[in-house]
Amino acid sequence: MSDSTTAVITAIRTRLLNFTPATGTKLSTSLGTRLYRNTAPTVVTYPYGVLRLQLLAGSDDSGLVKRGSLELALFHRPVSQIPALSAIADVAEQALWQWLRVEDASGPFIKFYGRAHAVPVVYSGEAVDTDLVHYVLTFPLWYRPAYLHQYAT
Amino acid sequence: MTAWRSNLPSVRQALRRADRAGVQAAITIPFNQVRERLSGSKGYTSGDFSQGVDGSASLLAKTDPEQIVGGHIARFGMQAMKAGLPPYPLYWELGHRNVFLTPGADRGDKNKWVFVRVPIFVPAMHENADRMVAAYRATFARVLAGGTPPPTDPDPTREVA
Repeated sequence: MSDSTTAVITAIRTRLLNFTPATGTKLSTSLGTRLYRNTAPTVVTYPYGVLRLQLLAGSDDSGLVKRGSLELALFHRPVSQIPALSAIADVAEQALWQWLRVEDASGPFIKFYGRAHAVPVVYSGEAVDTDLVHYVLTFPLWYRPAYLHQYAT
Repeated sequence: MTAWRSNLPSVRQALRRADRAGVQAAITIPFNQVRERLSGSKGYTSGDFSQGVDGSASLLAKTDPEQIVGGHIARFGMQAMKAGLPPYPLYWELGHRNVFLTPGADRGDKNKWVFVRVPIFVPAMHENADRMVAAYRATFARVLAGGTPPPTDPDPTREVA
């Protein structure tokens, strides 16, 4: 069983890309495969997203689960694409809203337990790219990798 | 014969005071870490291109705990907008594409602008989650028992009626 942080992000990424919303477009259509882990390539095609998993220090509840937050940063351009990026953020929220991934041979148990709050970043000033549309979503989650739950059986 | 008198109001007040002091103690931990990481020439700077973010620590502020349903809440953050500045700290915290850090040959193509990011606030919360809970518990118990909170708290006994 793979229980690495990479396996967790991979499972979440697969969920995000494969989720079919009741209305709207699948992320595999709107983003293609441009849902990157940790950092985006230097030269990118828009829109794209970046996933980062941040674990809470000392948060292994009774030594059985780990808690943390998943950050999804979404980018698009130009600013006229705000509605398009907002729609992508909506689908991402739906995909992970209380999503429960049951453990199987391909990876660990993951549970998202709260709704993300999308923070649109509006740029101004000459120091930054003012044509960039940027959303940041943070999802609270906990997961149970094999190296923790082996002690619970 | 002595009339019966409920102590419930004073119990409530003691719990409120302890919770308020606990929240104050908890928020002080990440607040101090953020202030330390933004002090002097550290923080949201990158070589010669500081773009007014040097001295960000002076914009840092936290609120006194305010009473909400079920407890207290306190916030801390940057007062860039209040100081009349663009929210540069927000751009650095969440990331942005920066023309000034991009090599001259690539500045004509926005897709090649360098993405820069210096997260300070969120890591401070993640790294200190357990310490914040411990500080809350210790302070709560101490104040509830009639003791004084740690010296980092300016006036934890101040009570909101």
